Amino acid sequence: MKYLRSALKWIGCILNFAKGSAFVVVVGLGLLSLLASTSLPWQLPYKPFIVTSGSMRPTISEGSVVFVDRRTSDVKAGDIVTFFRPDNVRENVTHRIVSIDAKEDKIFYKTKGDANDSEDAWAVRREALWGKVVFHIPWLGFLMSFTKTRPGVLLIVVLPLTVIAIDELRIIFQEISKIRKKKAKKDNPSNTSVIALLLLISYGFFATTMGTTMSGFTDTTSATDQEVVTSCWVAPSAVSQLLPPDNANTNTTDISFSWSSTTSSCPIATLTYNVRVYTDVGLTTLYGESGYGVGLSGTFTSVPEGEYWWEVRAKDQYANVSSSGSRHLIVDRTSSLASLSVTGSGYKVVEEKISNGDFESGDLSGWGTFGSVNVLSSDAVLTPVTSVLPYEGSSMVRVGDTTDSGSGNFVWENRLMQSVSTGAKSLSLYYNFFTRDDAPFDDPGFFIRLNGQNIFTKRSGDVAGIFGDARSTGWNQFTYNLSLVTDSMTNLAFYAGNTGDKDNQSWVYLDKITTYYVTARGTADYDLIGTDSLSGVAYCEYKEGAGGTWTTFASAFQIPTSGSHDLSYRCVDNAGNVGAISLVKVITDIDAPEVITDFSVVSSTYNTATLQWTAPGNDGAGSTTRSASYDVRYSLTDITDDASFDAAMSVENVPAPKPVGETETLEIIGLNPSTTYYFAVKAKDEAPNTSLLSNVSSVTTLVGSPINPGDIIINELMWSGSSITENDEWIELKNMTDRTLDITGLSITRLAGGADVSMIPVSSFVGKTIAPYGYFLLSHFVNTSSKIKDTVIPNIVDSGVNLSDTELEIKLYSGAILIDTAWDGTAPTEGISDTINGKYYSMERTGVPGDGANPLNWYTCIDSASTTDYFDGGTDERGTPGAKNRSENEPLAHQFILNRDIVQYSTDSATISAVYIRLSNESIQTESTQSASQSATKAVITPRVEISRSTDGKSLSFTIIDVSSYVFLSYELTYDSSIGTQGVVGKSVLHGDSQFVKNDILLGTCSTGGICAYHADVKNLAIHVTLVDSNGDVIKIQGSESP
Amino acid sequence: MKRILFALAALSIAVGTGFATTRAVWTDTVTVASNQVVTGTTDLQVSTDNAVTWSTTSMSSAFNLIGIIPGPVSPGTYAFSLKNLSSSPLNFTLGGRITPATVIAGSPDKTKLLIQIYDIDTPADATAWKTLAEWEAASAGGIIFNSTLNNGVTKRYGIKVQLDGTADNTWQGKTVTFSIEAMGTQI
Repeated sequence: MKYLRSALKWIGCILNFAKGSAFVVVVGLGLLSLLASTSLPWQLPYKPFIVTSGSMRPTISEGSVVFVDRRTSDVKAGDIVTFFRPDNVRENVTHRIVSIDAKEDKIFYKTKGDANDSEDAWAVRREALWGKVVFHIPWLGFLMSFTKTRPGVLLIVVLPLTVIAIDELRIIFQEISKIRKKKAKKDNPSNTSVIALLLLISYGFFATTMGTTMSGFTDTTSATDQEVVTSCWVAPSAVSQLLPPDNANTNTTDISFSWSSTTSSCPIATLTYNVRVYTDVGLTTLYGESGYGVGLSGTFTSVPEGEYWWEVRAKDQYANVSSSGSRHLIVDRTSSLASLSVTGSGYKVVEEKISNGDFESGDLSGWGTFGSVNVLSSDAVLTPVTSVLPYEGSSMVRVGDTTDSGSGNFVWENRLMQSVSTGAKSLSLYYNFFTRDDAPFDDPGFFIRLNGQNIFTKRSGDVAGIFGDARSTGWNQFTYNLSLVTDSMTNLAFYAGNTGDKDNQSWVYLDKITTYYVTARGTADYDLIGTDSLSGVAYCEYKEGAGGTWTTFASAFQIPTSGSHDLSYRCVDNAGNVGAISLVKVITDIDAPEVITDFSVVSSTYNTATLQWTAPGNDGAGSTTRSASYDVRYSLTDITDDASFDAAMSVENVPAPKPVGETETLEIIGLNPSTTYYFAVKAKDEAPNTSLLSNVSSVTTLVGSPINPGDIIINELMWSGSSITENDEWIELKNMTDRTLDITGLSITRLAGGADVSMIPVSSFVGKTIAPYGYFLLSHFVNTSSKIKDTVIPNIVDSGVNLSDTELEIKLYSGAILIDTAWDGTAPTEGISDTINGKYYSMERTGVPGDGANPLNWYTCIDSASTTDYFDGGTDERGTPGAKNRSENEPLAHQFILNRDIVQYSTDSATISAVYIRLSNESIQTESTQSASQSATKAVITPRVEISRSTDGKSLSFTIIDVSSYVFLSYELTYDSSIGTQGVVGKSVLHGDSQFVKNDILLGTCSTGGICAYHADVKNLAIHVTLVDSNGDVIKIQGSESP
Repeated sequence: MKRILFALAALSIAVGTGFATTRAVWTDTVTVASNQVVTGTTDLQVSTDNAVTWSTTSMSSAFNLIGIIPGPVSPGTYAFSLKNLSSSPLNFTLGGRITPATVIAGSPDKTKLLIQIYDIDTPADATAWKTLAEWEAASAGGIIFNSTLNNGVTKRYGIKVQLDGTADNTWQGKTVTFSIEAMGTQI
């Protein structure tokens, strides 16, 4: 028991010490707890929070205890406050206020931890504030937090309580012991224990319930800057097109399109634009597009003519596309065509006088050709022109080749020819000259001739552009005043091709070749009509004279002043293309020609009557200008007045009037024998004003056979045979009358051994007829056995048809009357029989038949198309059996007159002369080179030409010597006479003879009736000859009359 | 006797208080955990370059989904990696939320943009589809990832987005920039 009491005493001492220490701790903590307690009946103004994170470092470190003044009524930026975390009210946050915002009468605080780089994501409402931090105690929070751990609770709460409990047990044991000893001892230590217990309980309660405050990054991590970008799915707004405006017309080659920028409802849209051009209104056929780009314009270059529709598309980077809608655009660089018409009483409109001048027949009928001449509906040409279309209608003709180099004919080897009537009118044609050559070559590359004289030329140097490109003048009109030509007929010829070399071609397209005149009374109305296939005609305008002022055509106008007027007119299209100026000679005439009073029949035959009268003045008595035309009529009854005159038969193809006072002679053919005819004439001017009726003259034709000379001619002979046999020969007759002729009684003889022998007897013609102006074919073989095409049916098949190659002379008889003769008994020089090269060409009668015994009235058929038109192909036969001759307009048979003294275009005349000389010189130089080259390989045989004139001065001959090496020649013969320069051209195939002879070239002109007028003062005879050998090499020589 | 009564009272208070206090500490783990001074004890690290570099706080991402249109779900795209490197062997349940997103040009309806975060290597472990508004409004614990992140483990996460088919044209061309805050809660 002693030991027990001693132990308890020691334990009591130890417990007192521990109890004292616990007391100190517990009192401190308890006071702190009481200070901050919210569980007590009273509340102190300061609330402590343990700081759990370092977001407020260095101001407040984690582990601190902050004390918040709960009485805070007002805070400001910079204050440190504790508040409920807005996104998680279970947490408290202590951060510094950085700004204060007021929204809808509520106050929000933006806060930020001092250690944080950015503001907090939230905004703190005033109601969420605990209050302002007034002070803090570092490290205390760790103790408080430690208290919350098991070790902390054992050390700080349980251990003191245990000490106190043990101590109290010790006291209880002591008191019991004292009671047992009845020893009362006044001691009151338990009072301190109770106080300490209460304080400790307060601390424990406080420590375990005290809030914490933190900042938000403590155990979180963030992946920042995640980006989600939405696309655009709404198309941009439609683009507004700027230029060109809708339905615009333009004549430019490069076309620029522009538009305004547009917008997208998508804020990130980056817009690009694409202009698309279509050739259809439905926008399905794309011509081209610019491709997408940011620009607001796009240019298309070298846009062909045509009709287009265009749109602009806008696209964002997500391929959302909008369209502007379409606009219409016409690209038109072709000028309008203008035509002039005249209405009202007393007028003559444009008069077509050239057969097939517009080539609308689709062939070359009516024309003579040589070389490369083709009728085309369009023609493809290389860079930069893609195609050529006719000027008007659906056909045109091309003279020359388009091949780009190394081939093609020389300019004189491509010809298009036709004899046309002249008179008080103009020649009009449209040409489109092309060249790939460059100056000084192809000079000229194209020229027009009347009767062998140049009236117009074009050369390569006239067309600007790049050498080698197909460059064009475009369609242009050429006019020429035919009243300046004194002869009633003239040969119109077009030439195009190479000059100087064959490296690069020149050629020409021709269309709408006409002769015309416009004459009218002063009251006539003139109308202008324009046509334009693309943009349409904007307006037409006209003026008189070259220097006048253009007047816009609004309605019909008149030209009341008597006399000649040069009227120019043109049209402008809506694309701004100004059309070529058309020039027309307009004659306003108010006076009728003088009446003819000396009209008479001066002679007659079985079927002809020759009329004669004096050419009247054009504008009444005393007028010195010649009339425009004659209206000659005849009747079987007397002509007594205008009515019976109008009822009489009109004579066609009356030659144009001669100058006033000259004697007019006209032979009427095709009359019936033993018949009385009454003749009368009226003269007309261009208006036409018509003269009064002339006196009437009558005649009774002679008694004759049913068929008389001139009624039928021998029109064509195939004396060469064909590739089948030399006997495949034929004869063609032609009815020259407008009557169906019964040819019973005809017979044909031939010259054999110097004497006429029967070839086709009378019996062969029994019951045969020839239609008016029709043809009659006599063949050695039937068509199926002959080379003649099977579709050509001979009228007579007779093996007696046998034509000599050495003494050719055929005579046609009607009974005993010699109707016609063909050739002169010599070897024929027209027509070709070339058995080596397989060429069998007929000889054709000229269009004006003349005397058939004169070789000048025959010509070789050179029409290449006839080979397939009239023969079973395969070999080169040429001729027109049973059909119209195709070489009858060849000028060889005529020596036409061009009065150079009255050529209107004196400048052109000078140019023509210069061109002519240069042409010859260049050719000679070129051929000299070739000749030198040839001399190295073959004997030096230089052809030469000799000219001689007949003793009576009415004809001449020339001989080209040493031509055995050549297969073809052509020549141009010129000379001066008292009425100007004259010309004759010709050509021939050579057959290996050493020389070529051409005799009896008339130095004059012969009329239809065979009456010839010879030129006076013939001098300066010159001849230019072109020779071609079998290799196609060319040599040119020239000669002149020996002194 | 009076003194004995005082001592008994003190003793009963001490024993009762100690019992009550320790019981509270050992049973309310949520409270204890939330009151931890955590710096240096847990370490949830993030990487946005496919686990090449790591950050304990945040790392900028190259995640960029473009061309989003209403309707289709975007292809899943890697966004970030998480790694649990706590100093003590702690395992995490993972949640996440999107801090208020920045939307360039305009204020489209955030309920139309749906976002899903998923474990690239275990695609089934994906969050529910939540709208941007829901992601932003998520509480501190965030929208729970289906997977856990044990101590020492690294996982890679991708994002899928879908613009709702009813999204109007105001959503065109919007750039939504946001941060994903991943939260690890000790388990």
